[in-house]
Amino acid sequence: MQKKAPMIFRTAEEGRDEADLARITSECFGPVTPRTLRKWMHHEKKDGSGQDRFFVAEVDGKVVSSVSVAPRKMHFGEGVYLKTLGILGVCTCSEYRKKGIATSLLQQALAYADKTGFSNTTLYTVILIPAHRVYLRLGFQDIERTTRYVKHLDYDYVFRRWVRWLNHYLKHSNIAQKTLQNWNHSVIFNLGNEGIKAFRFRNGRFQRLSKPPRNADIIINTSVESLTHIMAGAYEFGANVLENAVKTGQIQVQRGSESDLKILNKILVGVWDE
Amino acid sequence: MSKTQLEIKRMVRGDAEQLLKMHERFVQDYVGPLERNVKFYQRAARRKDGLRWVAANKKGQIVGYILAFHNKRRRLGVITEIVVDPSLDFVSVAKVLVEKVYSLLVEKGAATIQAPTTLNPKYSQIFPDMGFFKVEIQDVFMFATNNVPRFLGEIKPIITARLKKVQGWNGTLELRCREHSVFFKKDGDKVQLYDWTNYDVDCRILMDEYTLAAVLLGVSDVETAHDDGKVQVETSLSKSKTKELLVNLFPKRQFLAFNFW
Repeated sequence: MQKKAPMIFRTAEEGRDEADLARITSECFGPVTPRTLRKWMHHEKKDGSGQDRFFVAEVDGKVVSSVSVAPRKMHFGEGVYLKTLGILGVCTCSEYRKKGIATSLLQQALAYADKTGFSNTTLYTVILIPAHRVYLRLGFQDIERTTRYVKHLDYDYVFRRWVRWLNHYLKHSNIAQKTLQNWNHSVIFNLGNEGIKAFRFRNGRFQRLSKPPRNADIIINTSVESLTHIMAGAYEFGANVLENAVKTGQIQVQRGSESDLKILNKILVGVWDE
Repeated sequence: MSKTQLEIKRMVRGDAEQLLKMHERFVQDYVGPLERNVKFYQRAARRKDGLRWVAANKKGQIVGYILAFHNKRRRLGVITEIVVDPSLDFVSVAKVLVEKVYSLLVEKGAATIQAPTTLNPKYSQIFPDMGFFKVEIQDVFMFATNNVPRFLGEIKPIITARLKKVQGWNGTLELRCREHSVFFKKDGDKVQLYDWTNYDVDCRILMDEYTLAAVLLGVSDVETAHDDGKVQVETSLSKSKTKELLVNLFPKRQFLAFNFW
C-alpha cells in the first residue's frame, strides 16, 4: 500500500514561509515577490480592522497551499456594519490540486471565523475557476458580479502589455506551460478600426508580432470591445468564452482548428484549469 | 446641480471628516461598502498623484468626491470610487468629477481607463456617454453564514430600525432561520427584543440562511422569495398586509462594494 505523504496544516510564519507563499501565489495569481508577501503578512489594516492571517498546508516540508483571512466590517443597511471575515489568496500548487487540500484549509479558516466570533465570511473569486465550485459546496452563495467600464486610449500599448503579462504568468504556471507544450502557433486579430494585432507562441514564449504573419494558424475578426469582453471572461458566455462569442457573432473565426481555439480560449481568458 | 454651481478642488486632509460623514450618508442606500474612518480619507488626501478631487457647492460644503489612481508602469488609470451627497443628483455631480479626473489621466498618458463597480447602476448614465463600454468580468462576491444564531443576533438592530418605521402594525414578530429565532415586540414606535417568549406570535417569518442573506444583501426580492416559498409567513394578517410588512423589513437595496480585498 502506498504511504500517504505527511501533511500539516498550520499558520504561516514570518521569516519562514514568504518564499513558498510567493511561489504558489505567483502560480495562481501572477508574479508576486517574497518581499511583497512579507508586506502582506505584516500588513495591519490601517482602518483598524485587524491583521491578516495566513493558513498554509505543508506536504513533505513544502508549503503547497494557502488561504488568508482578514477581518472587515461591512454595511448591511440602516447604518449597521457587521463584522465579516474576508477570505483571500486561496491558492494551491498545480501538482497538489484536486486533493481537497484547499477545501480543508478553507474549513480551517471557517472554523477560525467561528472561534473568533464571526457569524459570516465573504470573498471575491472568479466564476470560471474550479475554486468557485468549492466555495459553493462550503456554503457560500453568489451575491454580485463585478462590472467594469473600460476605455482604451492606446490599444497598441494595451496589447503589448498583455503579451508581456502572458510571459510573466507563464513563467510561474506549470499548468499553462504543460498546456502550451508543442503549441507553436501564430494568431492574428483583425480589429477593424484598430488595425491588426498579432502574436505567436514559439520556444516557450509569447511574442508580439509587429507585422502579421502571412500564414497565421488562427485568424480572428472582431472588435476591440469584443476582445476586451472575452479577455475579461464575459460571464454570460460560461467557460467556453470564445466558442460562445462565435455563436453570438461577437467574433468571426476566419481560420483555426477547434483544438487550437480551445487553447486560445485559455490564453485569452487566463483560466488554465479544466 | 449645474457645473457653474460646483467648485472642483483637490482633496486635502482637512476634508476628511466631512468626507467620512458624506460617505456614511451615501452608503445608507446601499449594502456592501466596508466601514471607513477619518484616517482613510487623510491618507487618500496625502497621496501626491493628484487624482483625488472633491466637488463643493457655493457655500463651500463638499457635495461629492472622486478617488482614482494611475499605474505608471501599466499606464492604467482606475476610478475607484465616486461618492455624492444623496440629497443631490448623483449623475450631475459625478460627471463633473469624472471629467476632471479623466482629463488628468489622459495627461498622465493612461492607455486604458477603467471604472470598476459592484454595482452602481448610475454609472451607466455617465461612462457610456464618454466613450466607455461595459464589461462584465468574471469576479463575483460571495457570502456565507457560518453561525446562524450569531448572525440573527447581529442583524437585530437592522430589523429593529426597520420595524420602527412600519406603520399600522403592532404585535410580536418572530424571525426564524434553521430552528433559531429572534423575537421583536412592536408597540407604536417602540420595539422590544426578546431572546425567547411564550407569547403568541402575531407574525412568524421563516427562511433559511441563504434566503436571509440574499434578501438582506439585495440579491433577492423578498416578495418574489415569498411567492416562491423561500420565505414563509405564519400570520393572521391579510396577504397585502403581510407583503407590506415583508417589504418594510427587507427593502430592496443595491449591493455596492468599492473595496476589493
